[in-house]
Amino acid sequence: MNRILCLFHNLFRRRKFESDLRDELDAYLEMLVEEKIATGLSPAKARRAAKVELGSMESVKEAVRSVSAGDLLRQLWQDVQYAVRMLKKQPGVVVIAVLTIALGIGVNASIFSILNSLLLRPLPAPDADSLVSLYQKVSSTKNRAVIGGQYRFSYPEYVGYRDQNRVLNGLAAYHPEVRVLVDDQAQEAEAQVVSCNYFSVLQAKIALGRGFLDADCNLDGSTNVLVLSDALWRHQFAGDPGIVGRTVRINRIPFTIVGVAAPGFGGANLVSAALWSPISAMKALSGAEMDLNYAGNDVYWLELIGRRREGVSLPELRANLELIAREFDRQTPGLQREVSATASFLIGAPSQRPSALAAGAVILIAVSMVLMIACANLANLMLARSIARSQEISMRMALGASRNRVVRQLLTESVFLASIGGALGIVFAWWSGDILMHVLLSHLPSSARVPLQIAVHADLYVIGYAFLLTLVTGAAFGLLPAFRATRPDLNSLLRQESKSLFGRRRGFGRSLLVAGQLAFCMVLLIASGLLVRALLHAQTADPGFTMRGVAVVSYDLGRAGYTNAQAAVFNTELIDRLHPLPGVRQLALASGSPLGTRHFFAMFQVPGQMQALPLPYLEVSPDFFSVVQVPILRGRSFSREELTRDSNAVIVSESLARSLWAGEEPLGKVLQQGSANGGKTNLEVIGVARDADVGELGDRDHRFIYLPPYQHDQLMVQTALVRYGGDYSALSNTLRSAFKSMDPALKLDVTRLEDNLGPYKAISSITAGIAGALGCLALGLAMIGLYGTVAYGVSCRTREIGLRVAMGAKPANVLSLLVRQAMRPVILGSLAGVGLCAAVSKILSGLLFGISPYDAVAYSVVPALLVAIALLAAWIPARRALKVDPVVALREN
Amino acid sequence: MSNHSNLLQGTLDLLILKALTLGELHGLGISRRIEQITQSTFQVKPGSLFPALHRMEEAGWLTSNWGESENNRRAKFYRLTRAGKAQLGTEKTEWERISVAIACALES
Repeated sequence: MNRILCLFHNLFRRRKFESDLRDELDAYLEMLVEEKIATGLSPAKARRAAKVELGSMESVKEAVRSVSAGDLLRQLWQDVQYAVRMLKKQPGVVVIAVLTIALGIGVNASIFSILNSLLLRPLPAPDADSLVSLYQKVSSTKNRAVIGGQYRFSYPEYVGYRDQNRVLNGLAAYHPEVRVLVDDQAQEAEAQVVSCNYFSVLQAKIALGRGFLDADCNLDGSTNVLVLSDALWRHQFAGDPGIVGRTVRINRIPFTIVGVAAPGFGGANLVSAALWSPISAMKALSGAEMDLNYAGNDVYWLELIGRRREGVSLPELRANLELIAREFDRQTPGLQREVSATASFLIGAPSQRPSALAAGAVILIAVSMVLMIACANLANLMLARSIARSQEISMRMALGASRNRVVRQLLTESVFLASIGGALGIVFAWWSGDILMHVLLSHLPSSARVPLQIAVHADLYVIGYAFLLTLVTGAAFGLLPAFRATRPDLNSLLRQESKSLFGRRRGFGRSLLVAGQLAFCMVLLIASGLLVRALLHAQTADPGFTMRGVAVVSYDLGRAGYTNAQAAVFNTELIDRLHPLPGVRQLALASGSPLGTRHFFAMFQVPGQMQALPLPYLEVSPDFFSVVQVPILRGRSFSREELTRDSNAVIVSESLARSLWAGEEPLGKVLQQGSANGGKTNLEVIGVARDADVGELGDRDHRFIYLPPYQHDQLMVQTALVRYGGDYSALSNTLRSAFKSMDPALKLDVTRLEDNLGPYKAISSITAGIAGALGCLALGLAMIGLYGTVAYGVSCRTREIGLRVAMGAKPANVLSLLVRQAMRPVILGSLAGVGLCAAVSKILSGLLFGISPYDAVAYSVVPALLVAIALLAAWIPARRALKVDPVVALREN
Repeated sequence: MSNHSNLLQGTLDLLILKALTLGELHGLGISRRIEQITQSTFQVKPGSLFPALHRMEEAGWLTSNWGESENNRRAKFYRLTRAGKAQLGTEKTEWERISVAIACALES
């Protein structure tokens, strides 16, 4: 008979299996009896002799059962049935345990479902498994423009990889971060410029019209065509079926709509695109960066995605691409490329994926800690229950059950409990992930709110994760009690536990659980303490400049179709128009605002020194320093003349002056700036400004450079900073109408300088919120655990307490003894938690905005608070000991 | 099985396979046949016999059917399968190898 068939028979034809076995053994017995009668015994004697020879019928049956296939499963089924019977007797325990586990696993699984859909799920594209993303690492980015990430490719590199590889069925290139205005709408849209094979490589269907033709993608010319996304087509164009062939203005440039993508397609990035244009349109759409030579070798701007040929493995693919990379290296001496290819994900760039994975792991660990704390409580509950069940367990062992068998049975019970909880948890996670994601997104500042391509829902990964977690949970809270309950000397131990007065290892397991809970709880609470401190710090920090009373107007002339010369005229006129306005006290133009979203880096070098440094800089007009109140400590600010012609003046921050020319007079020193075309400009230091957090809040590195806005680069000026007096809302209206009078359709953002803190506050308030919620949950669970342990300890030790009081101990002494004993594991656990947290808190440093990851306040206040609460949680149940009447207690036994 | 022969794991399988070479037998028949062919050295008790029969049946060496015993009683008869015959061959060779080895060891 086939083994699987046997298994099936043994498991599902149980009744037939049993009756066959019984018949077989009965027949054996009867034949034995007949054999004995044949030898001359009387029927009664023959039967007796036969029965003696057969031995116990049941044990023969059990022996047969234990060798038949699927016996483990049969035992498991038996155990589950038994567990159901046992648990039915204690509905209270079941409800508490199931709800605790359901909550723990549900929260875990819903967090996991978010991370899963962000980080683990393949791109939402047909046959996504064959998609690969290409990234490269170049040895130096000197003299090269990098747009959006150093891992990107230049156009000639793209063409090389596309045409020379023998491993891909098509390689597409795209540049994702183009924000455009469609028909002068107030709202910006996310656009992508893509290679002509983009839609075919991603196998995206075009619902209306066509995709791009090869002629659209010639980088020398420019055919202004675009494909709309289904969402934009429906929202902005009312789903007009005759849209193909219509002209729309993108950044004021006419574009012809040639097609509409199929519903649901949003590109290969996390941020979903509203429209696509061929890469030849990059120049027209790139605004301030329009002067770059996008067809050239020294602009890195393209992300690559391709389809693997059937049967080609990733290592083979990398090897082939590596060959092409070596060929490029030969053409560009002194520059090495390291090319890599990975499966495509929504968050896949090497600059984002590792940190996103790390953040995800940290969150999962934090949530798992809460689950473990909950497990410790359940372990305590099970421990108490198994001691109550000691008679049953010792009876089973006395009847011959092995310890393994009993442990297995007890574990089956806890895993069974965990499974009910886990199943509920999965049901919970099915919806909660999506809801949680929406809550998180709605807390982001509006500037960071972009349409994302994520559908959070549970899939097999999530269910698998929850299932694994369920097993671990069941084992975590069942193992210790099961081993304790089946300890060989259980009976004597039990007697000790309840009756001995000074047993040393009494409740060792419980103390361990309490200490572990406290340690995890401490880690979570200190982490949330640090994040709350960071949140407060972000609100009260002194960035080194004055935020109050400054309005920021952001505008982008490049995107509105201006040339540099037109922009220069506009900016000059702007100053003249804004100055006399009511409420405007001082006014400065700059390439960005302090702590704003626009960051600029360039290579700077002290002549004669080898190393060129990448340093952050802003281009600012003379009044910038008085508008944001950053004092010039030495020298002077830029003069009007330095604004109108191209000057070589530069102002450096105090820290930079100190680091470059320690102990020397910085004024008059020369600094070289390397420019994109390989030439170098000599700059002369004319002033030193006080240090300020201009680039990033809480950044310890205050090295910063201020340059005047160059005449030939007026499109870079995209910010007007206004120091105002009086009412902000009145002023913002005045500013708006002044801008509108110059160019009615220019897109404007008027904000307060304080609003630049928004993203910092949002990040720290979201993380502090999550950590705080987890910390409070952990605290609550741990305190319930401690309370339960002390209460149980008091009830077990009634006789001892009675004896102590009878011998003359004061109730207060007894109380303090109990509390002291309860606090021992608390203190040990707290110390372990503080140590653990100190070891890992460095990973939070990116979120702390200048607060040290070893912040003294968080590390002293949180432990003190936690120990105080623990003291309370121990003291309340310990007071019960005062009610012990020595006479009653002693008479009890 | 008697006490001292318990030591030889696998002997029981060999004996059962051997006992069935002449045709199908029921449990008691197998037990008696083994006694007969080993000249009563081995007496197989039901506590060892039945688990072994079930194990070997699941392994595919034996097959069983319900039939009439010599006293017109319903009993389960076991028969060798082709795999069982092959198994008997390998167990035989194995046993001969061991017994030669033991004999050599004792004579040395």
